[in-house]
Amino acid sequence: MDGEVLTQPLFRSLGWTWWTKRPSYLLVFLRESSSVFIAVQVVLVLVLLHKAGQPAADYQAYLDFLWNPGMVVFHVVSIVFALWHTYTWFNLLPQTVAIRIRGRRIPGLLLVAPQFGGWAVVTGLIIAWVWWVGAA
Amino acid sequence: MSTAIETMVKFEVFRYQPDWDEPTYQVYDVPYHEDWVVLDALNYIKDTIDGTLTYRWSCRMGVCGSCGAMVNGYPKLTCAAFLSEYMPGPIRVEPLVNFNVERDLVTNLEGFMDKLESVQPWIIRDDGATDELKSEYLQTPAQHAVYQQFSMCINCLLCYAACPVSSHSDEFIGPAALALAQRYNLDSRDEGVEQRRDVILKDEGIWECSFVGECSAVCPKHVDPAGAIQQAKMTGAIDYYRRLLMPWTVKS
Ligand code: SF4
Ligand code: FES
Repeated sequence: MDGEVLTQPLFRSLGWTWWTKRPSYLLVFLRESSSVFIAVQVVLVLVLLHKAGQPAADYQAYLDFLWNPGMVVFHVVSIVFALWHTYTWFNLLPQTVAIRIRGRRIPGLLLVAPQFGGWAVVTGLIIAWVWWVGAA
Repeated sequence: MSTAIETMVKFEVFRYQPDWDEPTYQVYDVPYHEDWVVLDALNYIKDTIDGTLTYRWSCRMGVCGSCGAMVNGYPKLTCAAFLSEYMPGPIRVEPLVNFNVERDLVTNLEGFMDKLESVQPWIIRDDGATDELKSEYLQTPAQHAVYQQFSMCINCLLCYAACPVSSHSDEFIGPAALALAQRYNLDSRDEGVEQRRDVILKDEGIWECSFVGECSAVCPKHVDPAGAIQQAKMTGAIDYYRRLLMPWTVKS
């Protein structure tokens, strides 16, 4: 065959619908898509800050827009995505950071637990602060 | 004399030859044995039903890494995939995805070999003693433990078949090769970090990985290539800021 290559390449890939093919892929896909919702929320907050400097009627109109039923559904979906993203990323830290003490890798829990602890504390502080500002 | 009727399992095996336009699935009935793995069934098919079936294998014990295939859609070592896990069947066997198929279950590994070579997975010494060790390079058990997990790779390439990034980018260096790069970068005897730097940090290197993590889930040797890549990203990011903010600390 004089070194002729007979192979006619047949490439089989996971395809663009890869994320539908396994539950584990879908969960990762949802983790990554959460960034879209978070980005939109950031824009909404930036607009809110801008509106705070505008006449009261403008500000109120924007608040009303944020409270319309479609937006409320969007906020709820966003928070679920944000929680999922946070939960998954905190759990991935032990794979990303290899800390060794006396030659042994420290258990993953020691890296994961402080993040959840810190998250709970910060969330508690924010809720307390909002409560306090609301009551004042 | 035993009158028991043998349980049979249906195998749907991917068939393809270079001069065919389309692959097909061929169905074979194989007797079920509790202690058989998919590779035993393939050998049974080849020996008694159809000698034209082509696939790779060697060690039958999860060491050589040559028997990888998609078993019911998941990348598996066929010598470690027990039929009992898939009963009552059918069991579909296909070549690993994300590679060109040469024939039946055999894939073309050239692209991977080039990627593997590009990360220079061998000990590099500043004193030039790469090919020829000039002296003894001692290592403590603790220094060995730092990279040991990443050195367990058997190049079975299940991780590439599980990786959606490899599916969409021919150029992505991919899990096993990047894990090996990290393995040598972490080796106390190695001095080749600088030489591997460009390949690892280029767009097709670690930064193309989006941490799907399925490579680590399918790895039969618990290499955790996803972890190796994220750790390399962490080192890469710290190194970037060090070069930016404290250039005088960087060896030229
Ligand atoms: S990292 Fe694991 S799955 Fe990938 S080639 Fe090596 S042994 Fe196989
Ligand atoms: S035959 Fe060697 S790993 Fe399966």
